[in-house]
Amino acid sequence: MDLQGFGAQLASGTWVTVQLALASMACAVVLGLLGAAAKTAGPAPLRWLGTAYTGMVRGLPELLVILLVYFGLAVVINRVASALGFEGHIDLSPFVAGVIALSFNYGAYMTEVFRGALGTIPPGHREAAQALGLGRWRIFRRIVTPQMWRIALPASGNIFLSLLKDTALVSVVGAQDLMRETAIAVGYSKQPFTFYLAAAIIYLGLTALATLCIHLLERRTTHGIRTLEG
Amino acid sequence: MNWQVMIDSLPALLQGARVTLELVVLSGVLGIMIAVPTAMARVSAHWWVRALPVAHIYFFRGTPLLVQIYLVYYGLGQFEVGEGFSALALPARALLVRDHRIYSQYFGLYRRDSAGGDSIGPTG
Repeated sequence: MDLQGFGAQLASGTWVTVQLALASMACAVVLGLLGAAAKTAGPAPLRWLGTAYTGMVRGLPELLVILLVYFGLAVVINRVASALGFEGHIDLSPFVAGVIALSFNYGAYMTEVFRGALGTIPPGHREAAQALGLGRWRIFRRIVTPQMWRIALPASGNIFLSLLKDTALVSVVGAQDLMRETAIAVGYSKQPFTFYLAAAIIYLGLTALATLCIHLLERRTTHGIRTLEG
Repeated sequence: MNWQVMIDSLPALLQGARVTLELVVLSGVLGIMIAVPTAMARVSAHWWVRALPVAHIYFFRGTPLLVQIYLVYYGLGQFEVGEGFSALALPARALLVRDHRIYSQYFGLYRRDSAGGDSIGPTG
């Protein structure tokens, strides 16, 4: 495949895609933990908020959220800032807007995953820890989380793969990711098939790598637990 | 917020919603039509029958939808093939193939050996 000297550009785009995916996943995990906590243990208004959040995200296309954040949130931020007496203009970079939009969306999916995983932990484990005099935070960190990761990991892995592919949508608002760099290369070379195929192969490589990492993590979390594979 | 602009653009938006529905129904139907035979090939006992559906599923599940659409819509232009070809059915197909594969393996619908030898044919 002749990339006509655009190889370095595709490589830098790939790096931005990886950064986008990892940053969004980290924020989505935090949002998911908060969401799951609100939905399972919070007071009624928090539970409603959590339900509204996951329900809303399920019905909105990813692209719409990205456009709303990039074009809408910047306006809101600037209105609020000027109302608070801030002089000047705040710019939301496409990368940051992408991370906010992707974390918002995938945070909702992670909420559901964590909520399901929390439900599988027998209440007796928590009660036993309480009987031993452990505090709420230590019970969560020492007793609940280690068991929860194992249950949540396979579904989280699938969600990460889906997130990795959805980062391509952020190119629409101008993030310098793999998709955007490919489009630029196509604009110069007039060879769309060659370059989009190259991008597809790079994305395939990334998902293969991510699958491998997830598999290794799964091996680690199921250590000492009998599975069907042995 | 300018409400008048939103109200004025409502007919155009509804027109767009119609196209969305058409896309959903068309790709859904096309997807199922391709998924069922591909799923049957996917659970074949012969590796050379399985190879194509495996590659198909791997490619469409591992690349972004946007890349697939651009590859078909802009990419085929490089070879001067028609541009009106819908790209959306391809990933829908791949996903449905995956679903059908799971179902077919669970229920042994397409596998004669799990339906008690040859007593039950592939169609029922």
